[in-house]
Amino acid sequence: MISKEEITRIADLAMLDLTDSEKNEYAAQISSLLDYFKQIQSLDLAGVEPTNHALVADNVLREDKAFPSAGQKCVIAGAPDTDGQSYRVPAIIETEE
Amino acid sequence: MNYEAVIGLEVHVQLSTDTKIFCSCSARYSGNEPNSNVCEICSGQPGVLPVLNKEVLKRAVKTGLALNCTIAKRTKFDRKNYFYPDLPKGYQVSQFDMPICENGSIIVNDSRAEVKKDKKIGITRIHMEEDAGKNTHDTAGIHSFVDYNRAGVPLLEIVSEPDMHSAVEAKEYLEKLKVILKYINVSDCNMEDGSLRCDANVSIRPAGQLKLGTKVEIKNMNSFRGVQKAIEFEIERQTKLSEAGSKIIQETRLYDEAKGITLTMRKKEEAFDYRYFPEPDLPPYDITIEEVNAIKATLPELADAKFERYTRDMLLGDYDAALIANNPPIAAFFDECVKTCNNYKALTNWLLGDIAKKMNELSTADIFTTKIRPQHLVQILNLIDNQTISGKIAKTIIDEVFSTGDCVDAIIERLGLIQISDNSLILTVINEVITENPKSINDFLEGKQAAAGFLVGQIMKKTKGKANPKIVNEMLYAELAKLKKA
Repeated sequence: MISKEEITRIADLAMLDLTDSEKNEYAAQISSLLDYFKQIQSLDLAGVEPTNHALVADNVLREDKAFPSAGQKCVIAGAPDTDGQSYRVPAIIETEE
Repeated sequence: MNYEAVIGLEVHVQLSTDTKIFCSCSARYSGNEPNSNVCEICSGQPGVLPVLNKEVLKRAVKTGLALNCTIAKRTKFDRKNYFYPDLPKGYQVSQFDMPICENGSIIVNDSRAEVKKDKKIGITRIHMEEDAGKNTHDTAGIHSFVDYNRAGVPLLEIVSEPDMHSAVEAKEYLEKLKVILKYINVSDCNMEDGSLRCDANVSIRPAGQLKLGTKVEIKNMNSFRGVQKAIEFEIERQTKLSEAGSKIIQETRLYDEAKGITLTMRKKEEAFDYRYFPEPDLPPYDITIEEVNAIKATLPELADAKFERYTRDMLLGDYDAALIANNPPIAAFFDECVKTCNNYKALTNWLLGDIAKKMNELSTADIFTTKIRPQHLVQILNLIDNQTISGKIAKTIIDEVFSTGDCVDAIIERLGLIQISDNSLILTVINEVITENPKSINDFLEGKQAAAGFLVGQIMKKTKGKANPKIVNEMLYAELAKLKKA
């Protein structure tokens, strides 16, 4: 069973605020998922190529040719807060003495 | 106790492609209105499909080859998850366990040494990733503003082994890396503009100890000198802490260029956990040997090979050869000159002497931004060789080439600079000078050799520097000898 502390940490990393009952609920769900992976881990897969991608198509490339962008108005139309040009967010302070 | 510093560098270079790494927005965002170079893909709208830019892959492989790396047979992208306003998607598309290049190296040359000293610095890996947007801050400290024009611009992250042991060595590594990247023309490599960025991992350990000390990451250096200064400060800070018996904390510190110190960066997340996983929207890429060889064929001759050729085939000194080889435009200029001129020593002297001085005056590092061209220099050297002009006149011509770009013949004709090798004309001037300077003649006859030098100076003055100095010397001494006998 995954601990409540671990659930809290995962939620923090994903910037999610969870209530106590939600944490319990997700802990149970994630635990059952992990149990399922435990089953897979018990298989002997020596010599099996890892599947590091689900897509069948490989080697897809694009020419380095520019096309017009969506444009400033269109881009910031969906922003929660702007100054008309940029996204406006709470100040980011980076250092402390 | 003696401490040894251990330094590894993480360098991000922006590739100078036309478009971003996964979409067709222009990658040339400088000077554009905020958020004008942005589309659904690079702003991370739901349901979009990123596609890798062919040129990014090509340049990544080219860089790997130039840095002696092994090129991956199969490479893929991964999502690096974290939250920061400049990251529109909440993750950066990067490469985790299957980077494009691994196990390379750079030979670093000690630029201060008269004799070239080599040291091999390992390169752990090179991977492709997307750049983030740019934050600006209001003066009140209430808001920050985010511009995503830079988001999605292609980056290579070049990670070195912790093989460096001083701030100077770190700077030399960066300089050499920049030279190589300039030669292969993949990036502008300008730290001030942010097209080359460098983070340093610095730790110290008692001299002789194998185990590495606690490492501190330093960010926010804006010049090569800044990198050197920041590392110097950090080594000193850690040494003082250790000597005082304090523990060094593993953390990220920002360099404050104005104060010349590093400061603790507030920790955004308790501990970094990027939860990498394969990027589901981008399929892996299998690189064939044929593709690698085709890119290899486009590699130009690099600095180390040039150095070899200059010292071995042209017998240049190590110091001069390194100066030329480590400056791509100068090397290109020199290589063009030697196609039609085999006076390598003279070429080197003029290039690293008078021409370098002129470039300094113009504050340019790229000779091709000036008006002088290889054919100018070659012709000037030929004219010196066949005694049509003196070295002094050559300097005048070079000045004139730098200001007008005119061809050498036109300059000589316009300024009347052909060297006088006509003996009768020179003899007339010599006799004039002898008559006008009886005191110097007396001095000379009394054994003062310096007086002859003064007379030569007077002759050159009268001929406006155009007399062939060798002929002047010979003829003057012959005339003076006649006076002695008389």
